[in-house]
Amino acid sequence: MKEEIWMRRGKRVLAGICAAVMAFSLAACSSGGSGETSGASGDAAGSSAESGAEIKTVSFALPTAYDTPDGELVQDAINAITEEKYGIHFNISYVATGNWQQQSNLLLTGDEVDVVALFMTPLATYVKNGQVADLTDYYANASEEFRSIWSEDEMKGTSINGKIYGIPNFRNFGNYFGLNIDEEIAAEFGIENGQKLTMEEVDAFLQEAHAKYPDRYGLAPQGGTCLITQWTWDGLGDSNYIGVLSDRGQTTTVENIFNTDDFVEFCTWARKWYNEGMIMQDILSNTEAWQPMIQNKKAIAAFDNYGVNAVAGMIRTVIIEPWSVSNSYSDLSYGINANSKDKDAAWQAMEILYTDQEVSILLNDGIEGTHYVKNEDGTISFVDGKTASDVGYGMADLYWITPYSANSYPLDINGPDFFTDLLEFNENTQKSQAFGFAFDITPVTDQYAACSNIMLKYFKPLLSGAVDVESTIQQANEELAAAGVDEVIAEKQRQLDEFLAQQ
Amino acid sequence: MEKQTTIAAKKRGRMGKWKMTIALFSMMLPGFIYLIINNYIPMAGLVIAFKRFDYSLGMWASPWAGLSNFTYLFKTNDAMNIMRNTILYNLVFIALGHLVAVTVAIMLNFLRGNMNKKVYQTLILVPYLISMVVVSYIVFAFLSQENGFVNKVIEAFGGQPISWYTQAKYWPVILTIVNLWKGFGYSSIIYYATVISIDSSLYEAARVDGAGVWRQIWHVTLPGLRGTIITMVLLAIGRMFYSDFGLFYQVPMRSGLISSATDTIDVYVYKALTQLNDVGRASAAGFLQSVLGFALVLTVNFIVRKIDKENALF
Amino acid sequence: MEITMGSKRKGGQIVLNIIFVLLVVAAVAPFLLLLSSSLTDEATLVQSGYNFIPKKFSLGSYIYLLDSGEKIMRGYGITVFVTLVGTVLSVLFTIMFAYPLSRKELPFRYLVSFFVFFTMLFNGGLIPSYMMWTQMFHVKNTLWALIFPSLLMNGFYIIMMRSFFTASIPDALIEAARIDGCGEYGILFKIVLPLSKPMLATISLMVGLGYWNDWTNSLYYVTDEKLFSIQAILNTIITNIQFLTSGQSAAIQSSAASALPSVGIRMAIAVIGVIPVLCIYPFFQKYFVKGIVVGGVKG
Repeated sequence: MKEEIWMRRGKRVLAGICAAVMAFSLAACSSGGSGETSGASGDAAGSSAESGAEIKTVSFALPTAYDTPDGELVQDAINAITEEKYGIHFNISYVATGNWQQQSNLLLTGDEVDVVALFMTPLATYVKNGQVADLTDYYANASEEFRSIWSEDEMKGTSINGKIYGIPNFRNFGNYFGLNIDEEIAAEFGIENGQKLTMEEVDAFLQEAHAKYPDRYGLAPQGGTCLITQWTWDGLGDSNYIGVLSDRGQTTTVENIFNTDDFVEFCTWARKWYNEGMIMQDILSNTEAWQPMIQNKKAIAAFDNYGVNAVAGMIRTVIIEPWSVSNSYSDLSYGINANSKDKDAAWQAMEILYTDQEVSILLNDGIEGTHYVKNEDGTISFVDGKTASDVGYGMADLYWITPYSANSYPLDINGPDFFTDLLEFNENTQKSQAFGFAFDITPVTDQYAACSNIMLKYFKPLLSGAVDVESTIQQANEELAAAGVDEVIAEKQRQLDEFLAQQ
Repeated sequence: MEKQTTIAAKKRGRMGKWKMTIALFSMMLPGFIYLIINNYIPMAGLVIAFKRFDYSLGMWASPWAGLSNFTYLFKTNDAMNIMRNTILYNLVFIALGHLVAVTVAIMLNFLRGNMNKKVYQTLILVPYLISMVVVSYIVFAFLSQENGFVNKVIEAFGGQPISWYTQAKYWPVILTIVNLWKGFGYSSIIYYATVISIDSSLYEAARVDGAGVWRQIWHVTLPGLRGTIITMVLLAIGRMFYSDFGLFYQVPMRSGLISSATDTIDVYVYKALTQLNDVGRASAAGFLQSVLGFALVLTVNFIVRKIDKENALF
Repeated sequence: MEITMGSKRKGGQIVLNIIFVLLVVAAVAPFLLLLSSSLTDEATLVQSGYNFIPKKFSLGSYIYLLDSGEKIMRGYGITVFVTLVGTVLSVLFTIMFAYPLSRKELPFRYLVSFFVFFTMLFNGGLIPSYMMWTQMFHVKNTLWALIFPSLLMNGFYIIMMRSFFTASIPDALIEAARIDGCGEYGILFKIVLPLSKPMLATISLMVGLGYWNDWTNSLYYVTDEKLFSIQAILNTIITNIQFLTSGQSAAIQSSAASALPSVGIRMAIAVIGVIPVLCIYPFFQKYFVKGIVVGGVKG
């Protein structure tokens, strides 16, 4: 396992050297030792770049959580490299996460965008709607360097029925599940970062801490209006959780989530804490994020799912060892618009985004001196003590959005080994039995739509502690049964069995 | 000789009439073009309601889906409830909304003094300018279980604080109040503009006849407003199956437990389809809302035409 | 008799004023809450919720907005430009369409009315409109995108304007103008419009507010945040928050949420979106005057 990480690391170093060499020798450009499809287009681009003619424009859209007024500056810097080296001109659109769902779907109605993040809509839905191009052949012919980023097994995470539709981006694919605690209070109670806790220990801690700080809530809601939305259940790519695998995806039986022991147990804890005044009474109408609630001393702790990154002012504990849901890889990936006029160029651009280190650094960190400064330990800091939200280009804090941030520098708060830690974390994460499975809703759409509405009614309230567990579940199950939940679950099971049989 | 002049006049009249008609139509040309572009061409998209929309194939080449895009609207047990909510809220909003707007407009008209009138008129418009999401924060400030002003008042009188966001029964009233509050200043503008255009000699005549304020309102103001009221109500009836998404989705803070009182067609469709991203089903819902509204408005307009031809819409 | 009438009137005026003061309080109190929250220290706001009087006064939210000044000021500039241009075009198109519709001489006028009304009920949905506006007219990421799609003309205003013309402009007046040799354009712009000030002011105000409050066109047709109107900026902030706090996606890493603009800032943006309208509205009001003209003609 270790060796593989080293191999990857080595490959990345190699990629860096390669990039540097390529900068000097244009003829060897884009896909030096690579295969057929992109090789051909690469050569064409190479010769044209030399003569300075025919630069292909590729539009690229990705989400961002910060304002990026300097997006154009970065784009120009990227183009200064890619036009000469590859004959590709990037048109980059940074779309606010809040607008992403609406805007990205509109972009896909025409050929406005070529390379696009597949995010917030299940990959299976993108495919069913004919929004994304089949990348299987492109990938099969891609450069060694590109193909070495993800293993064959990992690529199944973004495949539907054996065809590749997206390329996973680099982030934590699984999550620890634990309790984040205000660091001062944690220190007082002798709880350390990374300490393992059971739910009983969590309860005991909360009781004591809450008794000591009665005007602070014990728990802030991580899920907006509930304590947390994900725990030990795998929704099989369905964020309404209609039919789940329980026990961290280590079963193959699809069940109604309300009938699983894990769910009932968590809700029972939540209910207990709510009755004890540990949780805000207004949880169902909360609009506050949990981080400021803890940072502003309004709450003591919050459940959370996380990878290897830190949050300021808090320590993180572990209740459940890291595991990843079936759709973890396809949750955010990069694909090519089915309506793209020049998919070859789009694919070439995709390769650049994943393999060219200079481009990765620019896209992920911005421009040195303008947005960040390098530190001695290999990390970077935003210039002049600015933050991600006001530096003008804060993507460094959003390493989990860009295609391949592992080629760039980690941010100071994440530490110098951040990206290698992340690789290691992903290696050690337990995958759901249904990894790579994607549920096709089409055969049961009507029932699914009706059940969605009922899940939206009861799921979060149950996880918030604001309602009685037993009677609410009974009520929900009655309504779900009437809405045809059994048909949805049976169909999910059928598709899953079929999927597993093929593996 | 007399005959000749009339013929000449007629001739000139006919020529003039042509010229006038052309002039009138030429005036309408920009608007006509705009409506064709903005409204009529995209209407071809209604075809999506009957298709399984595929982005890579586009509107026309996508395969037909028959009526299958419509079934999800009826297969749920909530269908009746959603329909009922949509219609009842609209009925209440139309009735109360116009009643309040007309009353405010008339009161403004009878108010004397320039300064105070301007100030009132400006300030009652404030709620209209606040976006619905921000309104939802304000409503929360009033209804929060722990810090809400309403609960503070209830507790001050010795009552038990109420958990507003978990009990559906309060929401028909809350939403009606929010809707009225947000819209009354705005909708009274249109009535006020009509009220002040009423011929003032009519009031004088009424006063001469010894009519007091109430009788002036009854005999002069309301008849003067009649046409506008009928038009406004007819237009609102056409939107009977639509609802203000922000009001019904944002203001209840998306709290699921009260959805039996807050789910309207638009909200249901949004909630049912977010995961599915199903363009065909979304447009099927829109199509149904339009057709039902259209049928309703044709019926009501037909009745209006029988009673009062002048004020029918068409 | 006279005296009682007078005092009765005075009494009526007092009652009216009281009612309006109550209405104004109801309308404005929530806004004051907004204002006060935007002026409250962030930590205090998180801890003790909303209050009509700031528990701990702070200009922090506004300073934050000033610091990110360029964006907000540009948003303002765009909103003002779009509102002005959009309103002028829209009102012009609307009266030129509504006036002929109000004339009994116009052939097929019921048909045309129906043509207008139909647009109010049926629409093809977002995707066809989007494809047309972006692929045929290339409005994507231009200011035109904030002016043309959907907002420029609305059947509602056309029909309101038509009803007003029908009810308030006497046929005799138009007949007289025509005998004086006035053309149709002349009649509309020189005679009818000056008589229609209250309605013109009303429609302008409504169209203007429509443009001012709109964020949907920005959401649909603009991805370049440099072209966002002030309302679109506010809306984007809020939808970002709703997404990042929903715990919806496993991919979301918490770092982003800690840097979200606080409640106070959201409130401050809402406040600065409202203030300019309150300043401009009184200027509109001078056109809300009694329709002197109508009486004049008859007399």
